[in-house]
Amino acid sequence: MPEAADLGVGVGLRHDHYPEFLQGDVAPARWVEVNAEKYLPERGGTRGAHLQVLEHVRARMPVVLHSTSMSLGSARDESQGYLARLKELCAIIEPAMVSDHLCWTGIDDVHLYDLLPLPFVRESVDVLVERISRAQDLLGRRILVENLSTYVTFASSEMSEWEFISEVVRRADCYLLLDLNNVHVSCFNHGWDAHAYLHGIPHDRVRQIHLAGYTDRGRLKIDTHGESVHEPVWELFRWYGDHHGTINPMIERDSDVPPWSELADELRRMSAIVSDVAERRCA
Amino acid sequence: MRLADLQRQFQAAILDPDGPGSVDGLALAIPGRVRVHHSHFWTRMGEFIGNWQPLLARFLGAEEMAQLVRRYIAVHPPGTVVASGVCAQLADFLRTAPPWSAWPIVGELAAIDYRRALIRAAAEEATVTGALVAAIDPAVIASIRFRLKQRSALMTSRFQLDVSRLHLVTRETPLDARPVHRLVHMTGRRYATIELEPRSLRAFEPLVAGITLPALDDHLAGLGFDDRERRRFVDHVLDGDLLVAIRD
Repeated sequence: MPEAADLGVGVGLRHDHYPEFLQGDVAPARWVEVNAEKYLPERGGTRGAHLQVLEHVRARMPVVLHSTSMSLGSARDESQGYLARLKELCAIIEPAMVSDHLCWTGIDDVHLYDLLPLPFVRESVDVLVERISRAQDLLGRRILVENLSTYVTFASSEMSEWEFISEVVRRADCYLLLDLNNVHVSCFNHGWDAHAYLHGIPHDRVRQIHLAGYTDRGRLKIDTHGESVHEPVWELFRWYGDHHGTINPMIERDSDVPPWSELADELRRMSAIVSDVAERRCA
Repeated sequence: MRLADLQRQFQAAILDPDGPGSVDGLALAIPGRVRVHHSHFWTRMGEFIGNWQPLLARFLGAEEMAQLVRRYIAVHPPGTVVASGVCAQLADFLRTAPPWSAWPIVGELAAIDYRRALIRAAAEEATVTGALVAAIDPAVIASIRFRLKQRSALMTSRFQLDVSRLHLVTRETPLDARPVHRLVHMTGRRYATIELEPRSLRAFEPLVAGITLPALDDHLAGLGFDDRERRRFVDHVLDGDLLVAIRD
């Protein structure tokens, strides 16, 4: 597998922080990830307001496109139109990476604006592998696929989630965006062992790591991306780093977005862990 | 169960406006948890529609707006990846679905509200001025196409919306007897409205896609604009923060 480009520490770009990213000092963030759908060029190639901003940000640092609409796990492939628009965006932004999720978002031309779970069965693997391969062919690059936070599991599942991810990623010859918040949330919700989960994924395929905040509802944790990263997720990040290294970690914050200074503090904590881990692994 | 059938049933459970639909047969470990996805979907629909129809939301109030969202999405489940598309058929829905169909003003308000929201969401562009055009070689200018900026729209409606007086509008307010044509655009954060006679509306129409100034002059002549009127129209659009030059 090709070596991963080390972009450093990154952050999800939100419009609340446009002024800082256009003019200010955003250290320690060295790259940004954006929700691709928000920046798609209009019909006829017109650039909307957000895309115009993103082009300016791109002139200053690498950009990663994070998509939620490929619906790679949908039994019907209805994504060709969307992928064509995503390809246009890639031509404009020249992203460092492109990612989506191991999920489906709707079927029969419906889009539910949610990342929906799949049963871990042979048919799901086959659908994902075919769809990822098609997306990679159309986009002309390998994509990253992200593990979900899940709340439901299917009795029909024939394998664990980490076995499922391993098989999909290897057969599709794609990369993995490892979301440690989602690992923690899913393991809590289903009674799985997070370390067993992380031992079981294909580490040589990991090209990016997400950290985010969940909302604790007692018996269930919900992946809201609306809070700071919680301690269990920081611990998982440190644990994973000690065992397998840290590659392109970033923080996602999608709602209740705090001032940049608060997010920068979280990024500094992330950077400190990255440095600690690197020192220990070299020692 | 085949994946397609599983997904269709799961989707139907989410789309049920009265609460999560049946997930029997899907063999979920904890079936009640489908509620998480059901809640997420309907919360997002309420947010999307409220964001793209703020005046309608203000007019109807929270409770009726929530009811409208459930009724509308049940008939028009979202099919676009871009949130603005979710409301694309809402005005037509309000014109035909009871009880709102009994009050034509509601559908008309929704149509105007949505167009205004699309204008607001569009990118700001550097507009050209008469002085700029005059400073450039006429032979060069003649080959350049100009169009209305993205933050504008030609609208025809039978409701003269005055946002500052929305509180005076009731659902029994009748539509205007005749349609009114307007060019609505944003300058900075403010909306500006230019009322248009039918001939002026037709004068503006080719500027939506873009047209050269000589072709515009021919078009205006074809509409019966005399020399003075044609000059005045072009001067007005050039100095009205309305036109951008198209980069081919």
